Amino acid sequence: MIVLCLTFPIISKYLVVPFLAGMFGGEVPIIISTGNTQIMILMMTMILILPFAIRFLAFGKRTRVVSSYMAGINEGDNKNFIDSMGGDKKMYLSNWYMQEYFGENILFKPSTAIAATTILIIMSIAIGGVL
Amino acid sequence: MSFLKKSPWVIHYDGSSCNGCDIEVLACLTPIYDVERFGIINTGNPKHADIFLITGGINSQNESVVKQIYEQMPFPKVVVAIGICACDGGIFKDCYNILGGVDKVIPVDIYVAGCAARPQAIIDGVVKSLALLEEKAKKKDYLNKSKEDNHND
Amino acid sequence: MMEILFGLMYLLLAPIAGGLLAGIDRKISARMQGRKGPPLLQPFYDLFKLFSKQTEIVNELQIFFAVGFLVFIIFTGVLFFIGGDLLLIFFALTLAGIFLVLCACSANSPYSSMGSQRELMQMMAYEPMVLIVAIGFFKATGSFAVKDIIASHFPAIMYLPGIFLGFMFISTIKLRKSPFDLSTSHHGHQEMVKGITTELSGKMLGIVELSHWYENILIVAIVGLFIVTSAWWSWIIAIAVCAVFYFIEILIDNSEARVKWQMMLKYAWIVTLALGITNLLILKYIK
Repeated sequence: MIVLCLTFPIISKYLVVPFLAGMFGGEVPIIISTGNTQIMILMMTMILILPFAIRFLAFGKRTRVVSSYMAGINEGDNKNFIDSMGGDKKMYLSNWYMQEYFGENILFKPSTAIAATTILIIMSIAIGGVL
Repeated sequence: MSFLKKSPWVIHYDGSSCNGCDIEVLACLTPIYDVERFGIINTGNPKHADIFLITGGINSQNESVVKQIYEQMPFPKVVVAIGICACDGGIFKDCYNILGGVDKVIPVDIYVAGCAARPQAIIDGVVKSLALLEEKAKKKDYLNKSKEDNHND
Repeated sequence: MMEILFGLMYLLLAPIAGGLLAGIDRKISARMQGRKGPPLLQPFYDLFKLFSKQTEIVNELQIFFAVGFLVFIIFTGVLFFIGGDLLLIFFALTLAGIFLVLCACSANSPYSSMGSQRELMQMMAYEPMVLIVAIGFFKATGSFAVKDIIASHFPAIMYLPGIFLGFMFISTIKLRKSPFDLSTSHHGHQEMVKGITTELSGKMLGIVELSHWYENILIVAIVGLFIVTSAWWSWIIAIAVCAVFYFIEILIDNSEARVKWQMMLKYAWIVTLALGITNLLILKYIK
């Protein structure tokens, strides 16, 4: 089945197209261009190689699972670290919200202006088309 | 041919030192001594490093830190204690907070004495540790050890 | 047939070329700093040493993403050298970058998470220019496919000088050179303890290094694409221009300090607007 998927352009060229030409007579148009078929074969080979590459390149006896690096003060469970007084502190990761660039109040004015202009233009086209 | 000898990456950690030996370690990277010709890079990450350079004595606060950094280094690894404070406590040996040298916490392979240890001596110690790295890589005893770790989890 | 040969050549020779490029980079940087520098084959020694060390991971997803990064970069490069569609190439390059970001993010450690967010910020800074490069090639030569661009009569740089300069600017970000090496800093310098590659070690780090070599060769090849025409001697000029370009990148690397991400974003977008879009507008009226 995998071999069928990978060799479908060759099968198409030598088996399917003459068959179709014989049945319907005349030229059979090429639907998928050769460039795109090449890309499809490449992508499929790649997806097939991925699990094998992972199996051979990565897993083995030598792989060891360790704690993440927190400059040596990880408590071992990757969630807490030892603070400067010797107690526990929870580690906290957050996303970047970038309020100065994409905050709601910053984006409000330009988007109102664009939306209002678009509505006005389309309204005038609609009214002009009717009259 | 082992490539560990040709590209040893170093992590440097400072216990409670006076910073004299740290400055000498960093001076090795400057153009006068230039250890990058041997392929030595000072990475700050124990997971990338082969050689652990420790300066300064160990007190009760950084005992667990040194242990954790040592454990996070991948095999094969070598520990070099630089300066007399890292070897056995140095002039701070009698202080109430100093436990002693680095070998109280992790197994040390090479001792480079000096106060502060000269860059020439540091480079000499690192070069000696390269031969030790190759021996450890050949023995491959970490294969058995990692199996134990995985079973214990 | 020739194209498949080129693709195979990229697959097999790009690691060697990429490693030599990295070695030349370190040597010239060292000489600029007044030192002697490592031997030329040092990156290869680094790579083989990394493959012989024990691998340490935080969770097993990292392996999948790191290998995925390598496979997608190879796919992108092979597609470029076969002569494929430039838009697809740039999108696949972005996808490979996302794999690297996911690899760092999945480790859930403070340093690698920060590194992955900075890497995403870098992508946001250079993606507009990269798209403008693809559109510019289409407007200049009438086709997105690389095999048509290299067969045209005029070098694309005649129509796209602004876009060429803009691409040179953002390739400082893509090649991870100062002032824009925010997410992970190469050869020895530390920024957030190595940023996205903090939680990788041993074989995984070797795989990521290898992928970076493949990616560098691809970026240098895209710079060369601006110069290549159907005449055979244009290839020599293209290689010379690539060499000069990489030397300028090394020079910028050694003379600039790292900037904050706000400044990187602002300058990258200003350059994109000034050089990229004006060039596109001028092209629209000439052609």
